[in-house]
Amino acid sequence: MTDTPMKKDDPGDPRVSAAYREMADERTPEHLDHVILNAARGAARPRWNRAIAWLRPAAWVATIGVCLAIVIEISLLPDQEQAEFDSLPQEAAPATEIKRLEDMRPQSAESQKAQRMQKPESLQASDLPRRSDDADAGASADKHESSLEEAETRVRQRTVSDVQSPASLLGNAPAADMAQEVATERYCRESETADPNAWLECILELERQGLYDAARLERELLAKAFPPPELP
Amino acid sequence: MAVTSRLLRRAPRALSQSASLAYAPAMEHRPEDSALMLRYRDGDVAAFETLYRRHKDALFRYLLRLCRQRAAAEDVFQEAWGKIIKSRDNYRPTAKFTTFLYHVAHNCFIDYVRRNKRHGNTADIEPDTQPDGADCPETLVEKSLARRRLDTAVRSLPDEQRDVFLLYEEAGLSLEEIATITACKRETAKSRLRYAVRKLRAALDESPEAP
Repeated sequence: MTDTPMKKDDPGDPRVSAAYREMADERTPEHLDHVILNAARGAARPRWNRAIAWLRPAAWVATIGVCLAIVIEISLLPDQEQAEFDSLPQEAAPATEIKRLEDMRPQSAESQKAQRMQKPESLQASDLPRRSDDADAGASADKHESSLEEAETRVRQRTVSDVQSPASLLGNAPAADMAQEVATERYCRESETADPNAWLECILELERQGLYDAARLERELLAKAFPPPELP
Repeated sequence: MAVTSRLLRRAPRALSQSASLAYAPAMEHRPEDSALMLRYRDGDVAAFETLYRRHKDALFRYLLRLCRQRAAAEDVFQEAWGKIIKSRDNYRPTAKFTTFLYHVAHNCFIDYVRRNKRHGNTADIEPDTQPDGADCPETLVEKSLARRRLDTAVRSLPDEQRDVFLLYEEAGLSLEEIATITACKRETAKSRLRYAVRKLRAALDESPEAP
């Protein structure tokens, strides 16, 4: 068993050693080999491996965190756009008003033509003596059209001035005045507003033409001019 | 001339054969235990396996005869190798690995004795008396009896003498190394070994008929 050569002062006996080596032939049990070698393998993992074992869950957590942040950012993005859109009413309002006015002008002309074509039929019996009203109505229509053009011109001028001077975007007063001015434009003729039934007809005509804002405005004015009777 | 040329032609092959035979044992790579342990410290598991297979049986026999109980020997054996594995980072090749290994095993045995005060009197080691197929029956019986006598004699040695004898035989340690492990002087270790060998020789010289 030993490879150490016998020294002079060694008290060992070669015969005893040989007899002992012949006797001692026990082997380590295999289950001990497995246990110890497995323990050695487990302990011999390099340190960077252990570091990776710690880094792996950290990497997962970081990945999940980044994904969540991206999802939250994406979910918040439309709201931000909406907020930005809402924060610019001064720019949006004139453009929409111009479009509305442009849409309204030919329609109002057409509606007036249609009314002119319809009125002789509907008013043949009852309203013939009121020809002067028709003339007044034509004059008021021209007046209405001219007022629309003036409003449109003013809106265009203000839009140009707003674009030229960004500082004007900060103030809401001119835009509010303009919107109120445009909103207080009348869409029904004075002759129609004199009679609640005619006024209501005009409102219904506006609704049929899709001019719901104008109809709502006229309906409010009608309610103010002819308040409903109080119920007892 | 023809013989000379034939000899010259054969010479390189004969030289190479003899050279290979002559240098084969010297070129066999057998790394030092300390180098293997250092390699294992750096993560080389194969180095530890080599080291373990080189020393496991001798250490197991040492502990088996020291503990005199197989279960206890297995426990101490496992504990000792576990300490070797744990201490790999702090291992410094300042001494022979065998000294380090048996020192750890000896300390584990001392701890085991302290934990189990009743150790010592119960022995469940049965010597391997299975006969070899090559020997004749008379020789087998003689060998078996001799082994049994020697085993009995080893078990009957005092603990200190048995410890020194086993370290000398199983680990192949010198008296200085044995003295280091057993925490005694070299002369004390030498004396213990001398007494142990004398008793074992007497046991071997006993006639088989003697009681």
